Amino acid sequence: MRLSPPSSKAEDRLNDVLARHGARLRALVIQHCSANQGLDPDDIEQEVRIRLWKAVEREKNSALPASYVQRVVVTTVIDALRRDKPEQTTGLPEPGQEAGVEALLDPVGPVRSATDGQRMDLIRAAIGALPPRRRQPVQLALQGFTPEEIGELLDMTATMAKNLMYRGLYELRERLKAAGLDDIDDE
Amino acid sequence: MTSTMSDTKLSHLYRGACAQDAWLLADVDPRDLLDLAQGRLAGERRQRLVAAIAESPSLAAAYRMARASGEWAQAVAADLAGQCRPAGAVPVLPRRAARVAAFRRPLALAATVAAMAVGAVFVTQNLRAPESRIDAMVDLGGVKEDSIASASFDSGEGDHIFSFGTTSRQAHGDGIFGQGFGGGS
Repeated sequence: MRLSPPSSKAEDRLNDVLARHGARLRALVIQHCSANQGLDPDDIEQEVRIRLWKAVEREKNSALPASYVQRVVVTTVIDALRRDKPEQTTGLPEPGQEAGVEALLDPVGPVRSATDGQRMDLIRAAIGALPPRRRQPVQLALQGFTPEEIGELLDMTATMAKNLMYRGLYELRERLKAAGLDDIDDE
Repeated sequence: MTSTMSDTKLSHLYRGACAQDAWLLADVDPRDLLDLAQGRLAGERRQRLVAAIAESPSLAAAYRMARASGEWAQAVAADLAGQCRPAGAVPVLPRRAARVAAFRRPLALAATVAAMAVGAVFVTQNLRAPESRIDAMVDLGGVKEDSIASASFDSGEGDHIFSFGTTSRQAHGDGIFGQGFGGGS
């Protein structure tokens, strides 16, 4: 289906508003999704803009509720993550094949990646062996969440989340040490 | 350099171990993610979603975006609503200005009423002042035409020590005031 552009007035309004707020959206994507997920902030902003245009055209009104605008952002990010997933799981480049810029910049080279695969399996197994109460705080901490955020997610105080997290991480290190993963090159 | 595995390295390896999370992403409902970010998701759905976030770096990133984009979305919606007011619509005062105006209106009304009341008192006093009182003030002590004021201070009699009386008498020559003081007997 061809997307006809919205009325010029509504389009101008939306353009004005997004021109003012676009930089902030790009900053949010860079902060939360670029480093680990590789999303392009410009792509996300453009996709959000298109979806809001469609909504404005559909509603014949450029006034959109904040909850709708927020859902558009989250849906756009999830869709982009779903699209990018196959690329993330692509194997190492074949011999002679040009490696991507990311591979050249990645400090973890192909040889290291092979051993990292074994380490990853060990880490998964060690985390799986943690007591259930400590497992999720450890997993969330390794995902980069703070004790406060972990407390919110698990419906407990930040102090309790911190205790469970540190005890769990200590136990995880002990298990990894027992499995021979206590020392590793750390850039 | 060889060292004990740092949190950063551990985190990097864990995220790598969880990279195959496409199935978790496929299952998630963005509305649930938003509800969780706003603290409105409870029960089994919440537990399942939190477990999925713990095992999926992508979902964790999406959750962070859901949390962080709330303020941005509100700013955008407010700007859009502010710009799309139909032509001819009655302009609405900003909340602060409206509050000030609402406070000033009764204050101005009260001030006006008070001013009118004070004015009315003065007007009615002038209109209704008794003639006799004015005359009494004028005739006090038989004031003559060329006298202005005089006071006498006389001693009292009997067990009176002092008596004070105000009389008016004719001024002599260029005198303006006449004053007499008598000692007690």
